[in-house]
Amino acid sequence: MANIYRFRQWSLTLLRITLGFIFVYHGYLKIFVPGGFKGTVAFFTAIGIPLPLYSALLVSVAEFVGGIFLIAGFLAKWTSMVLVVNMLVALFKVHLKNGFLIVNGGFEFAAALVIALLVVLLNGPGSLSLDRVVFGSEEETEEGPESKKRSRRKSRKSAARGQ
Amino acid sequence: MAETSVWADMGQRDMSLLYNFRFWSLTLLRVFLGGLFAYHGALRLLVPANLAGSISYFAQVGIPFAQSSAYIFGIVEVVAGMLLLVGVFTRWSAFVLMLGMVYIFFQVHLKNGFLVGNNGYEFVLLLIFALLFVLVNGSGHLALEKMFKEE
Repeated sequence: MANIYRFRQWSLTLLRITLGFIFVYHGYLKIFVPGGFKGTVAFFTAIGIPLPLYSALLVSVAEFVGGIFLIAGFLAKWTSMVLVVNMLVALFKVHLKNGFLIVNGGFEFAAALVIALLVVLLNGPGSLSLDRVVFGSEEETEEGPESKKRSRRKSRKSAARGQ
Repeated sequence: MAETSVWADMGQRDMSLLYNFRFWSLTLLRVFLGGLFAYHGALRLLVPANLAGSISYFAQVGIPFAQSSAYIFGIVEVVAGMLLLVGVFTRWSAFVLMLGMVYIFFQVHLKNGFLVGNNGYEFVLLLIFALLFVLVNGSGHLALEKMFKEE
Protein backbone atom coordinates (compact mmCIF):
# COMPACT_ATOMS: atom_id res chain seq x y z
CA MET A 1 0.00 0.00 0.00
CA ALA A 2 2.67 2.37 0.98
CA ASN A 3 4.34 2.10 -2.38
CA ILE A 4 1.12 2.70 -4.29
CA TYR A 5 0.50 5.72 -2.13
CA ARG A 6 3.94 7.08 -2.90
CA PHE A 7 3.33 6.63 -6.64
CA ARG A 8 0.14 8.66 -6.28
CA GLN A 9 2.03 11.51 -4.70
CA TRP A 10 4.68 11.40 -7.42
CA SER A 11 2.13 11.39 -10.23
CA LEU A 12 0.72 14.54 -8.67
CA THR A 13 4.22 16.03 -8.56
CA LEU A 14 4.80 15.32 -12.24
CA LEU A 15 1.47 16.88 -13.20
CA ARG A 16 2.21 19.95 -11.09
CA ILE A 17 5.68 20.45 -12.55
CA THR A 18 4.38 20.07 -16.11
CA LEU A 19 1.73 22.69 -15.44
CA GLY A 20 4.38 24.89 -13.88
CA PHE A 21 6.58 24.73 -16.98
CA ILE A 22 3.66 25.53 -19.27
CA PHE A 23 2.73 28.62 -17.26
CA VAL A 24 6.32 29.81 -16.74
CA TYR A 25 6.94 29.57 -20.47
CA HIS A 26 3.82 31.53 -21.36
CA GLY A 27 4.50 34.11 -18.66
CA TYR A 28 8.11 34.41 -19.87
CA LEU A 29 6.91 35.02 -23.42
CA LYS A 30 4.54 37.71 -22.21
CA ILE A 31 7.08 39.54 -20.03
CA PHE A 32 10.61 39.07 -21.32
CA VAL A 33 10.38 38.49 -25.06
CA PRO A 34 10.53 41.85 -26.88
CA GLY A 35 7.06 42.85 -28.06
CA GLY A 36 5.48 40.11 -26.00
CA PHE A 37 3.95 42.41 -23.44
CA LYS A 38 2.85 44.98 -26.01
CA GLY A 39 1.26 42.22 -28.05
CA THR A 40 -0.57 40.93 -24.99
CA VAL A 41 -1.93 44.41 -24.20
CA ALA A 42 -3.03 44.85 -27.81
CA PHE A 43 -4.66 41.43 -27.80
CA PHE A 44 -6.47 42.12 -24.52
CA THR A 45 -7.71 45.44 -25.93
CA ALA A 46 -8.91 43.70 -29.09
CA ILE A 47 -10.94 41.06 -27.27
CA GLY A 48 -12.42 43.63 -24.88
CA ILE A 49 -10.83 42.79 -21.55
CA PRO A 50 -11.32 45.73 -19.16
CA LEU A 51 -8.21 47.75 -18.19
CA PRO A 52 -6.03 45.94 -20.75
CA LEU A 53 -2.71 47.33 -19.50
CA TYR A 54 -3.24 46.28 -15.90
CA SER A 55 -4.91 42.99 -16.78
CA ALA A 56 -2.01 42.11 -19.07
CA LEU A 57 0.46 42.95 -16.31
CA LEU A 58 -1.53 40.90 -13.81
CA VAL A 59 -1.86 37.90 -16.13
CA SER A 60 1.81 37.94 -17.18
CA VAL A 61 3.06 38.12 -13.61
CA ALA A 62 0.51 35.55 -12.40
CA GLU A 63 1.54 33.09 -15.10
CA PHE A 64 5.29 33.58 -14.64
CA VAL A 65 5.38 33.66 -10.85
CA GLY A 66 2.54 31.13 -10.53
CA GLY A 67 4.41 28.76 -12.83
CA ILE A 68 7.56 29.06 -10.72
CA PHE A 69 5.49 28.46 -7.58
CA LEU A 70 3.93 25.36 -9.13
CA ILE A 71 7.33 23.95 -10.14
CA ALA A 72 8.65 24.59 -6.63
CA GLY A 73 5.41 23.41 -5.06
CA PHE A 74 5.10 26.60 -3.07
CA LEU A 75 1.53 27.61 -2.08
CA ALA A 76 0.45 25.10 -4.72
CA LYS A 77 -3.25 25.12 -3.90
CA TRP A 78 -3.55 28.90 -3.83
CA THR A 79 -1.46 29.26 -6.99
CA SER A 80 -3.53 26.75 -8.88
CA MET A 81 -6.70 28.51 -7.77
CA VAL A 82 -5.43 31.80 -9.22
CA LEU A 83 -4.38 30.09 -12.44
CA VAL A 84 -7.74 28.29 -12.74
CA VAL A 85 -9.44 31.69 -12.76
CA ASN A 86 -6.88 32.93 -15.31
CA MET A 87 -7.50 29.94 -17.60
CA LEU A 88 -11.29 30.12 -17.22
CA VAL A 89 -11.23 33.70 -18.46
CA ALA A 90 -9.00 32.64 -21.36
CA LEU A 91 -11.30 29.70 -22.08
CA PHE A 92 -14.51 31.72 -22.19
CA LYS A 93 -13.15 34.98 -23.61
CA VAL A 94 -10.79 33.61 -26.24
CA HIS A 95 -11.10 29.93 -27.06
CA LEU A 96 -14.74 28.96 -26.62
CA LYS A 97 -15.96 30.47 -29.88
CA ASN A 98 -13.32 28.57 -31.87
CA GLY A 99 -14.76 25.14 -31.08
CA PHE A 100 -12.99 22.24 -29.44
CA LEU A 101 -9.90 21.51 -31.52
CA ILE A 102 -6.66 23.26 -30.64
CA VAL A 103 -5.58 23.49 -34.30
CA ASN A 104 -8.40 26.03 -34.78
CA GLY A 105 -7.55 27.80 -31.52
CA GLY A 106 -10.27 25.85 -29.72
CA PHE A 107 -10.70 25.28 -26.02
CA GLU A 108 -9.40 21.73 -25.50
CA PHE A 109 -5.98 22.82 -24.23
CA ALA A 110 -7.42 25.52 -21.96
CA ALA A 111 -9.96 23.05 -20.60
CA ALA A 112 -7.22 20.46 -20.01
CA LEU A 113 -5.23 23.07 -18.10
CA VAL A 114 -8.26 24.05 -16.01
CA ILE A 115 -8.99 20.45 -15.08
CA ALA A 116 -5.36 19.58 -14.36
CA LEU A 117 -5.13 22.68 -12.15
CA LEU A 118 -8.32 21.60 -10.37
CA VAL A 119 -6.66 18.26 -9.67
CA VAL A 120 -3.69 20.04 -8.10
CA LEU A 121 -6.03 22.41 -6.25
CA LEU A 122 -7.94 19.53 -4.69
CA ASN A 123 -5.10 17.04 -4.17
CA GLY A 124 -2.28 19.31 -3.08
CA PRO A 125 1.29 19.58 -4.30
CA GLY A 126 2.39 15.95 -3.93
CA SER A 127 5.98 14.96 -3.21
CA LEU A 128 9.02 17.23 -3.57
CA SER A 129 7.24 20.45 -2.70
CA LEU A 130 8.35 23.53 -0.82
CA ASP A 131 4.95 23.52 0.91
CA ARG A 132 6.06 20.48 2.90
CA VAL A 133 9.36 22.10 3.80
CA VAL A 134 8.01 25.55 4.63
CA PHE A 135 4.66 24.76 6.21
CA GLY A 136 5.53 21.23 7.29
CA SER A 137 2.23 20.00 5.93
CA GLU A 138 1.49 16.43 6.93
CA GLU A 139 1.86 13.67 4.44
CA GLU A 140 -1.74 12.84 3.67
CA THR A 141 -2.47 9.18 4.07
CA GLU A 142 -5.12 6.92 2.67
CA GLU A 143 -6.23 5.61 6.02
CA GLY A 144 -6.52 8.92 7.82
CA PRO A 145 -4.94 10.31 10.96
CA GLU A 146 -4.57 6.99 12.83
CA SER A 147 -2.24 5.38 10.33
CA LYS A 148 -0.46 8.68 9.99
CA LYS A 149 0.63 8.43 13.60
CA ARG A 150 1.64 4.86 13.10
CA SER A 151 3.73 5.60 10.02
CA ARG A 152 5.36 8.53 11.72
CA ARG A 153 6.32 6.37 14.64
CA LYS A 154 7.65 3.78 12.25
CA SER A 155 9.76 6.33 10.40
CA ARG A 156 11.11 7.63 13.66
CA LYS A 157 12.08 4.11 14.65
CA SER A 158 13.84 3.50 11.39
CA ALA A 159 15.58 6.86 11.74
CA ALA A 160 16.79 5.83 15.17
CA ARG A 161 18.08 2.60 13.71
CA GLY A 162 19.98 4.70 11.23
CA GLN A 163 18.18 3.48 8.11
CA MET B 1 -3.99 16.23 15.76
CA ALA B 2 -6.48 18.95 14.93
CA GLU B 3 -5.94 20.62 11.57
CA THR B 4 -6.60 24.32 11.62
CA SER B 5 -6.79 24.85 7.88
CA VAL B 6 -9.58 23.60 5.65
CA TRP B 7 -7.00 23.06 2.93
CA ALA B 8 -4.97 20.67 5.01
CA ASP B 9 -7.89 18.30 5.51
CA MET B 10 -8.49 17.44 1.92
CA GLY B 11 -6.80 14.09 1.95
CA GLN B 12 -8.53 12.57 4.91
CA ARG B 13 -11.40 10.16 4.94
CA ASP B 14 -12.91 11.62 8.09
CA MET B 15 -13.67 14.80 6.17
CA SER B 16 -15.79 12.78 3.80
CA LEU B 17 -17.08 15.64 1.67
CA LEU B 18 -13.64 17.12 1.07
CA TYR B 19 -12.14 13.70 0.54
CA ASN B 20 -14.80 13.13 -2.09
CA PHE B 21 -13.72 16.27 -3.91
CA ARG B 22 -10.39 14.61 -4.63
CA PHE B 23 -12.15 11.69 -6.21
CA TRP B 24 -14.44 13.95 -8.17
CA SER B 25 -11.43 15.79 -9.57
CA LEU B 26 -10.12 12.44 -10.74
CA THR B 27 -13.47 11.65 -12.33
CA LEU B 28 -13.51 15.01 -14.06
CA LEU B 29 -10.00 14.44 -15.43
CA ARG B 30 -10.85 10.92 -16.61
CA VAL B 31 -14.09 11.93 -18.31
CA PHE B 32 -12.45 14.93 -19.96
CA LEU B 33 -9.52 12.87 -21.28
CA GLY B 34 -11.87 10.12 -22.46
CA GLY B 35 -14.09 12.59 -24.27
CA LEU B 36 -11.07 14.31 -25.80
CA PHE B 37 -9.55 11.12 -27.20
CA ALA B 38 -12.88 9.67 -28.34
CA TYR B 39 -13.65 12.93 -30.13
CA HIS B 40 -10.27 13.07 -31.84
CA GLY B 41 -10.51 9.42 -32.83
CA ALA B 42 -14.05 9.82 -34.12
CA LEU B 43 -13.04 12.85 -36.17
CA ARG B 44 -10.12 10.89 -37.59
CA LEU B 45 -12.16 7.83 -38.50
CA LEU B 46 -15.65 9.00 -39.36
CA VAL B 47 -15.05 12.12 -41.42
CA PRO B 48 -13.68 10.92 -44.79
CA ALA B 49 -11.73 14.12 -45.48
CA ASN B 50 -10.09 13.89 -42.06
CA LEU B 51 -9.19 10.25 -42.60
CA ALA B 52 -7.43 11.05 -45.86
CA GLY B 53 -5.89 14.10 -44.20
CA SER B 54 -4.52 12.16 -41.29
CA ILE B 55 -3.12 9.43 -43.53
CA SER B 56 -1.20 12.00 -45.56
CA TYR B 57 -0.20 13.82 -42.37
CA PHE B 58 1.08 10.59 -40.81
CA ALA B 59 3.12 9.94 -43.96
CA GLN B 60 4.43 13.50 -43.89
CA VAL B 61 5.68 13.31 -40.30
CA GLY B 62 7.32 9.96 -40.95
CA ILE B 63 5.09 7.54 -39.08
CA PRO B 64 5.63 4.10 -40.68
CA PHE B 65 2.71 2.38 -42.46
CA ALA B 66 0.80 5.69 -42.56
CA GLN B 67 -2.49 4.21 -43.70
CA SER B 68 -2.71 1.36 -41.20
CA SER B 69 -1.27 3.58 -38.47
CA ALA B 70 -3.98 6.20 -39.04
CA TYR B 71 -6.67 3.52 -38.72
CA ILE B 72 -5.02 1.98 -35.65
CA PHE B 73 -4.60 5.36 -33.98
CA GLY B 74 -8.21 6.26 -34.72
CA ILE B 75 -9.55 2.97 -33.38
CA VAL B 76 -7.36 3.06 -30.28
CA GLU B 77 -8.37 6.66 -29.59
CA VAL B 78 -12.08 5.89 -29.95
CA VAL B 79 -12.04 2.62 -27.98
CA ALA B 80 -9.68 3.68 -25.20
CA GLY B 81 -11.33 7.09 -25.06
CA MET B 82 -14.81 5.58 -24.63
CA LEU B 83 -13.48 3.16 -22.01
CA LEU B 84 -11.94 6.06 -20.09
CA LEU B 85 -15.17 8.03 -20.44
CA VAL B 86 -17.30 5.32 -18.86
CA GLY B 87 -14.57 4.07 -16.54
CA VAL B 88 -14.00 0.49 -17.70
CA PHE B 89 -10.41 -0.83 -17.83
CA THR B 90 -9.48 2.70 -16.85
CA ARG B 91 -5.85 2.07 -16.05
CA TRP B 92 -5.22 -0.04 -19.16
CA SER B 93 -6.83 2.56 -21.42
CA ALA B 94 -4.84 5.33 -19.81
CA PHE B 95 -1.66 3.28 -20.23
CA VAL B 96 -2.28 2.57 -23.92
CA LEU B 97 -3.16 6.18 -24.68
CA MET B 98 -0.14 7.34 -22.73
CA LEU B 99 2.17 5.14 -24.81
CA GLY B 100 0.57 6.54 -27.97
CA MET B 101 1.07 10.09 -26.75
CA VAL B 102 4.70 9.44 -25.80
CA TYR B 103 5.31 8.15 -29.33
CA ILE B 104 3.55 11.17 -30.86
CA PHE B 105 5.53 13.45 -28.55
CA PHE B 106 8.86 12.23 -29.91
CA GLN B 107 7.79 11.57 -33.49
CA VAL B 108 5.78 14.70 -34.22
CA HIS B 109 5.88 17.50 -31.67
CA LEU B 110 9.32 17.54 -30.08
CA LYS B 111 11.07 19.23 -33.01
CA ASN B 112 8.45 22.02 -33.18
CA GLY B 113 9.38 23.54 -29.85
CA PHE B 114 7.16 24.14 -26.87
CA LEU B 115 4.21 26.21 -28.01
CA VAL B 116 1.07 24.48 -29.14
CA GLY B 117 0.50 27.34 -31.59
CA ASN B 118 3.50 26.07 -33.59
CA ASN B 119 2.40 22.44 -33.20
CA GLY B 120 4.79 22.14 -30.26
CA TYR B 121 4.74 19.66 -27.42
CA GLU B 122 3.14 21.43 -24.45
CA PHE B 123 -0.34 19.97 -24.94
CA VAL B 124 0.93 16.44 -25.56
CA LEU B 125 3.17 16.72 -22.50
CA LEU B 126 0.20 17.75 -20.37
CA LEU B 127 -1.86 14.86 -21.78
CA ILE B 128 0.93 12.38 -20.99
CA PHE B 129 1.12 13.42 -17.36
CA ALA B 130 -2.65 13.71 -16.98
CA LEU B 131 -2.96 10.14 -18.32
CA LEU B 132 -0.19 9.05 -15.98
CA PHE B 133 -2.16 10.57 -13.12
CA VAL B 134 -5.24 8.58 -14.11
CA LEU B 135 -3.09 5.46 -14.59
CA VAL B 136 -1.70 5.72 -11.08
CA ASN B 137 -4.82 6.94 -9.27
CA GLY B 138 -7.54 4.92 -10.97
CA SER B 139 -11.00 5.91 -12.06
CA GLY B 140 -12.50 7.95 -9.20
CA HIS B 141 -16.27 8.19 -8.89
CA LEU B 142 -18.89 7.26 -11.47
CA ALA B 143 -16.89 4.43 -13.01
CA LEU B 144 -18.73 1.45 -14.50
CA GLU B 145 -15.98 -0.96 -13.43
CA LYS B 146 -16.69 -0.13 -9.78
CA MET B 147 -20.38 -0.86 -10.25
CA PHE B 148 -19.48 -4.32 -11.62
CA LYS B 149 -17.20 -4.97 -8.69
CA GLU B 150 -19.90 -4.25 -6.13
CA GLU B 151 -22.27 -6.84 -7.58
